[in-house]
Amino acid sequence: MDDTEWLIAREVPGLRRYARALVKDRDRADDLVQECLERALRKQHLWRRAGSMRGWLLKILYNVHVNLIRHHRRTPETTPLEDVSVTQPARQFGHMQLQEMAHALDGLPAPQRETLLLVVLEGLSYEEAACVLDVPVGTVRSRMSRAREALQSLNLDESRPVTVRPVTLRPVTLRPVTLRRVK
Amino acid sequence: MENYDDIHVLDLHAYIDDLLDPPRRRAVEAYLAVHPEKAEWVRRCRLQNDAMRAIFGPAAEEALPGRLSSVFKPKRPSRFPGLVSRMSPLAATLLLGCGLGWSAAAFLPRHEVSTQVLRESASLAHTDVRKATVAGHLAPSEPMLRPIQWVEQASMVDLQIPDLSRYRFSLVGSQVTATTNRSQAAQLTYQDDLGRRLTLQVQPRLPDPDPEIETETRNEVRVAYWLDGPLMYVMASDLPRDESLAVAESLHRSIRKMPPPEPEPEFGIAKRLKSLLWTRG
Repeated sequence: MDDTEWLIAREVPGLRRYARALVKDRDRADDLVQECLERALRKQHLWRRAGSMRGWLLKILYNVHVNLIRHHRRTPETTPLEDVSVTQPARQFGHMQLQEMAHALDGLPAPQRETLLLVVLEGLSYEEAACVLDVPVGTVRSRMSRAREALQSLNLDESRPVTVRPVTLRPVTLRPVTLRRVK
Repeated sequence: MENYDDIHVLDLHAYIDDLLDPPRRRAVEAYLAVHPEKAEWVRRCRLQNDAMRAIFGPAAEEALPGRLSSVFKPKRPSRFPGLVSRMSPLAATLLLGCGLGWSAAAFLPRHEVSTQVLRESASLAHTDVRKATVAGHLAPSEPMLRPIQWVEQASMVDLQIPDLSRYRFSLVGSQVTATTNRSQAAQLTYQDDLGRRLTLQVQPRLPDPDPEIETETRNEVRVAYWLDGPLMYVMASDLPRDESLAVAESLHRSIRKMPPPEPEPEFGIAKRLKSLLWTRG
């Protein structure tokens, strides 16, 4: 594995996390990541160390995602979140709180959700997120603001009683997705 | 009475996302201390952030499925692994380079050479630190984060200052230092409760571009030039030397922070065509 491949491989866990947040289904998320990695390895000469590897890979991943959505139905495909895929709830939250949060995120318009998750989950700056999403930085700020306002009605609080129950992933029936390269 | 007119909602968002520089962060914290309703809003937003990380964070901890790890195909193993491993790296390189007619660079154990340099350099640096300990002083230290930021910029890898508090070591000094092969490394010095010191050197794994910008006068024109990865930049101007250097440094920084290139050609013209078709139904 050469240096660039090593740098790409290092970002795979983060790519899986963002892909999972985008499409919510494990297999489809890994389809996205796989396509992203194959493209990145083919086009690694284009990176040229100008900008962060994470930002570059997330941009590829996001573009693959957008292409797939356009290819399928020309409307954002939302998969109902059947269950929160956490095995251990975070210390300060109960499972129900996380599930409420997951459903609230699901209810956000796709652009707001994608932007919020890029910044919060992947730790991108607003400028980097703007570059990944190919929008002005002002749009990123505006989406962040609207997304946060929309989530304010959630009752997330450490003081709420925490009820923890074992979580199992329920199978989600989805149309099979085949990745097709755009010519 | 403090004036908080310059604190806007955008600052609060950037504060929630840890994107403010330290002075601005302190200003926002002072503002929040006297605006409890805003502080509550910020607290709720931070809880949202924590919840999002709790929901999706575990995906990054899972073992990679085979189809993803197999994307990184291992290089074809050498046909002479035993022979090569028993020889010195240089001899192995020469033999393989001549015998197979391949590029020696492909076989040169560059990282081994690089770690040798770093090991040598770190041991020498630690000898200096040890002497400084005996003399009761430390080498001059730079701002703690700077060496790490330097590694991050040189390698494009996100790093954090390693926390050794578990072993009762705390960071007492940091600097970017020259190594024995004239490259550079970040050097962090830790000290424990007993006064023992530990030196950590970190060098970018990628071949480091020459960070120095050189200037010269050629044909009565001031020229500044520098290397950055595979590219070489030359800036010619009528500016005096210092100003030329400052402009070149600014240029160098802005070039390195340029947005990444488009990853796929199809996202260029094809993308615009598609979006055109798209908007026209």
